[in-house]
Amino acid sequence: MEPFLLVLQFLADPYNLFIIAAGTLVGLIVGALPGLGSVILIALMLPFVVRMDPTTGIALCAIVYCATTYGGSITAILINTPGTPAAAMTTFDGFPMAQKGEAGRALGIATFSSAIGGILGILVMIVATPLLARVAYHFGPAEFFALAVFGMSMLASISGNSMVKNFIGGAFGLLLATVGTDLTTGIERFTFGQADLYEGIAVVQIMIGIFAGGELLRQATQTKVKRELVAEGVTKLPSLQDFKAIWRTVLRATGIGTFIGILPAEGGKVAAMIAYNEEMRWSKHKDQFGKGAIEGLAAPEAANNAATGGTMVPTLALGIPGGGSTAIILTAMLILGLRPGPALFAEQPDLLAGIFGAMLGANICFLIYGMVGAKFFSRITLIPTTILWPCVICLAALGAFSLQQSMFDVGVMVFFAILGFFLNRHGFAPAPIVMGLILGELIETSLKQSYLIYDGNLWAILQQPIALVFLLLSVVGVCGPLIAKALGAWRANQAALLTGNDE
Amino acid sequence: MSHPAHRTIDRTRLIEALVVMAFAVILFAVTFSFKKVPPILAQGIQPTVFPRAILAIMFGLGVIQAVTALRPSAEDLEMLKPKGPIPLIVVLTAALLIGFVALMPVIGTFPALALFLPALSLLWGERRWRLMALSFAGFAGFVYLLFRLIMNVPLP
Repeated sequence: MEPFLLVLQFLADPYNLFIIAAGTLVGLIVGALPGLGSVILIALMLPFVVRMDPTTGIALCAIVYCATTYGGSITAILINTPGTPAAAMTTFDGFPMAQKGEAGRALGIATFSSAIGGILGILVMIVATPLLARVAYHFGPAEFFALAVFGMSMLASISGNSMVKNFIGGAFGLLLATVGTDLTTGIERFTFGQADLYEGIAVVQIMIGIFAGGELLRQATQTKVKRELVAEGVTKLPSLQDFKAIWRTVLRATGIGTFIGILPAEGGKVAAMIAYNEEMRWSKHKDQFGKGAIEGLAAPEAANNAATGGTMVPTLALGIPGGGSTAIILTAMLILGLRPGPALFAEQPDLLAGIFGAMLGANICFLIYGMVGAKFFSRITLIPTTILWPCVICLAALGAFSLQQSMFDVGVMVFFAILGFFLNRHGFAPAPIVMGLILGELIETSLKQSYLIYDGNLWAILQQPIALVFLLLSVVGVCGPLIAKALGAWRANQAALLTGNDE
Repeated sequence: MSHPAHRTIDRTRLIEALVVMAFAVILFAVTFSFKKVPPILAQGIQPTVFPRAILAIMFGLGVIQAVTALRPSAEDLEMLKPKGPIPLIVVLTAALLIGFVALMPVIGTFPALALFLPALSLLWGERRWRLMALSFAGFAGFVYLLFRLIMNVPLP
């Protein structure tokens, strides 16, 4: 009961309520702007967050993470453009509903499904995170090494990208993490004589560059895109009939979203995709999907918001990011001197209550904003890209400078902006690079510690049961998609052969 | 059924693979310039071990990528779309961004903002002068408030 009481205590403070209300508003506005999303917003916020009180700063990141995830659905429904990648599946049935003149009903269903999915996902997070952290008490270097390897192995299953390219991106991130002075030996690695690189490469600046800068250059190719509202967004409460039709869907999708969220490297986008496909599989009227089925709208919205709670579980309990946004939140925690893991639960219960409470509050808050302000948020989409993005990139550059008042850092940001654009153009997503960058130090340190503990015999890692389980899961994580693909190809071949024989 | 006669090479993927392999080889060579430390100080693992392991994995992944580029599956071939050259607007946007960062320490943040913001906006096709003037003046004010007054950051 104690975590819940601490959460209630956090929510009773008027200052915290103000932070929740303001953070949710900013998150909704940014979520409604196509191209911007939680990852870019949190990356841009980092220079400011690291100057704040740790609880307020991390709670603010968590708030905007929840709010942007929901905010993306408004534009997905009204202009067929998902504000965030997690809302991509929402366009499938949300936009057809808006075209049929049911925009208000669609917004109402999306708002309710998002809030219920989000709140249930956070309740799971409040219960599961301390339990997982308790398990992590038994973790030594071998277990942490295996866990980090498991986190990297999950890059194999990030959908929409080539598995090999994800791993190359992950390896590049790991390599970036080795830049600077090796802490054990004091030897410089990949510094090329640059004094600014002695303490390692600036992680925040890389994130700002690769996410915000890369997106700026991508937006440059889309300046001619015109966005039009098909309907005004006045949210209508779901009717009792609608509610009866979607409650099972919402619960199923919440379960899927939370589970997918907990898996390292996966996030709201994958959760929404799986929930939508599962809903279609369970549905009695599959033909309605893609034409305005309310279940097809409720499922991805409940799943992607539930995933926000899920992704925080491994981030807080183990220090393994659950997705792109949580990777940046994790970076903010590390800069603020907070080491996620079991110790955090013993030493910083107030911080965790703050994060849990802030996320819970954000979900309730966006439910209210969504019901009364959808019209306003839908109009935000119409802010011209030609005005918005020059301001965003200047804010990114000045934010990169402000951390250490170093122009070298701004140069790093610009370099990674250009590199991020090229990599993205060739199918190398930024998320695996960030995963590698964050997990690099943990992998190297735990490997070195294991080497010392087991007297140079690294095979001893396999004799640790928990480490063995994680390493086996890593093998499954890598081989699973390959086997599934091979099976699919074999089945297709068999089907083609059978068809050929019939003819 | 696959038809070897109809197979082609995925050139883009092959070039990507070669770049990855070359990158790994060059950086592997760079690791030889790292100073060696006595085994007792290195505690068994020299500082070159971890980067070299990653670079070896990277090279291996590059090889896999090259092999798949030489023998693309039917599914890969269907997805093969020729990539056009990088649009000029992207190159110019990147050039403006570099110019902005280069100008900041020379002429100061706010004059650099006054040049960069309208320049990028114009490049992207914006011609509503009043909207630009109002928006960018407001943004400059916001930057001054946030960075100079609230965060007390000494901007260049």
